[in-house]
Amino acid sequence: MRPALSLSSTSTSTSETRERARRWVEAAAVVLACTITSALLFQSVELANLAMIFLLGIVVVATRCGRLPAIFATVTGTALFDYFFVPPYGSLLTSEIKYLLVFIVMLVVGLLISTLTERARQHEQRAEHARMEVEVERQRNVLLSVVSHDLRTPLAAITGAATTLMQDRDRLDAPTRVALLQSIASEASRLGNLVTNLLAMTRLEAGSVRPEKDWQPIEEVIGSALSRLETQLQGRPVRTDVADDLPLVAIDPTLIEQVLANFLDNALKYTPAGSPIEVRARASDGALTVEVRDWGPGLAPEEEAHVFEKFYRAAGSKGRVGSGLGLAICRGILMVHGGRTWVERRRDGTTFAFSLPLGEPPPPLTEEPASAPPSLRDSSRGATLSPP
Amino acid sequence: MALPEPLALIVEDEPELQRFLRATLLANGYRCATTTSGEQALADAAAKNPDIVLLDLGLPDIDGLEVTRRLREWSRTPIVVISARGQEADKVAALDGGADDYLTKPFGASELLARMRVALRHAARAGDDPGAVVETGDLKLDMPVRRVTVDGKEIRLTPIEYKLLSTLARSIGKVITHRQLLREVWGPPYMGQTHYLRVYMAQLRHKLEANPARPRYLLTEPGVGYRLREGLPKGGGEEPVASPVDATDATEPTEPAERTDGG
Repeated sequence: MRPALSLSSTSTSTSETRERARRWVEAAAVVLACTITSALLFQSVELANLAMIFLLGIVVVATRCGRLPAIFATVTGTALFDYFFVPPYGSLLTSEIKYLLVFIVMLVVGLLISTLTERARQHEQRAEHARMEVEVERQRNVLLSVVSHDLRTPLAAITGAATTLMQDRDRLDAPTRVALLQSIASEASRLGNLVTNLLAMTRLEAGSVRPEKDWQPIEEVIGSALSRLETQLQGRPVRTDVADDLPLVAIDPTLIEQVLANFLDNALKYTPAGSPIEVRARASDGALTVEVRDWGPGLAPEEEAHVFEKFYRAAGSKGRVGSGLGLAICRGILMVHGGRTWVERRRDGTTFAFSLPLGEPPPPLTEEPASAPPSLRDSSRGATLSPP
Repeated sequence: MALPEPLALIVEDEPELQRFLRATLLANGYRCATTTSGEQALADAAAKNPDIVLLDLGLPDIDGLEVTRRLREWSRTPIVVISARGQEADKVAALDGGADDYLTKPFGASELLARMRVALRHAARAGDDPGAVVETGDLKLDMPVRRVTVDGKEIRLTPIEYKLLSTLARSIGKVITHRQLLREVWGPPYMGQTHYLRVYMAQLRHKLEANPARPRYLLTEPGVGYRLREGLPKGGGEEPVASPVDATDATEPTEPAERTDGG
């Protein structure tokens, strides 16, 4: 039941073939267009000007289509020019030396321009490659510094608290001991979350996450995400608004639950204690949309574009922030589901949302299979099961 | 409850985790035997006759799933498996192979003790017989007369819905896998049809839960199965006090949460 995710290698090679074909077709079309234009202008314009039209065509092909199509355009263009417009017409032969000069100029210009544009193209590619390498390097550095900071801080707190408890246990009063133990527990769970998130992100980026899709109501996944965060959600008014007529959707429940849990966790971190959170689910236009709305201070406009990036942490969180990976993980999970995720800034808060394609409807249920005990077999749906 | 302290066999190869399990269990009225390998666990289970087995699925020698299957060939001792996060398939295989429940690393002491308490209590009863009446929160299931009430009001269920609920109720507190429920309620030919189960579970929630999108009784264990939450306090349908595992100890109701019903 695992869908094949990666067809990228074959699709890349077909798109390359298509691109190559496009260049040749375009080169041929330009040469043809030059010939037709020249034919139309033939009566009213001098021969040297017609040569300019062909030269223009060769320049266009050289800049747009690469070196080989440019040479092709130069040769065929020169040949067609000679054949149709240079006397004697209908022949590749020429009697006059001045036309020979026109051919040679056209050939040389065509070759020169195609060489120059090819060189420029290579430069650009090299520059692009260098830019990408710089970006990869930058991301690696961010990763290293964030990871080393985020791993070391809780480790330092745990080591400190634990050694204090060992060495000074008789000198510490009970509340201090409890506080130290609490900090060990909370820092350890923080460390655990970070490691879990780093692993999840790495697996998503490596393309090794294969969703185990199954048809199910989104209501159930919303319910399990809410109960997973039950402790943290205490003291928060939580509204759920799940439409009654939602169709089943094919998803990996553990992954989509993770998305919802990360949205909720995000709302908890960035909104004041006690402010409400709402989860909504709707279906329209062949897609299921799930929203987590909060009534917090909201995102700055410039933050909106970055919240789903790795290690991006919006300003204004309460206390110490998370790993900066939660929303990036959401984006990765939606990507492997063929869905998408986004954020909306409202006047009174923020909405994080994702949508999933609904796809083919699942196989219909057969009405109550006949595995019910005989005494119950004739009870219709909704009938009471108590004896009469 | 048996008079001598129950003997727990801890099968765990990580020394630190073993130490934590030992300390927690000894402090909470268990006797402990520990072993670090699957083969030794099978030998110890035969020699020491433990009351409960705590089994890590990632053992150095034989697979924890294999240990579960071989142990189940001759023993009904409850098994609680310990697994890492993301190993849903292994958990399901262990549960389908006869394990009673699971814990996902990292877990706390209260979760550990709650799971073991449920597993021990189920083992103490002969087979799967929780008694005629199962009650949790405002939900009451009167098995002999097939009557289901929520807060005293009778709920009309279809035969399938009732069978689903009663299957979960017979193992209240324990996780039941999708396969187990499908086999029990629909029969073996339907074991692959998990969407049947999900649709009927949704119907059941709409009839029993105040807010089916935030269920109080019928809990989802994502990728694994369902669990009927046990030991909920009575009254109103407010949110449980703490996490599911602590709910057994909770007695004080919290303030009702604001909500909009899904239905």
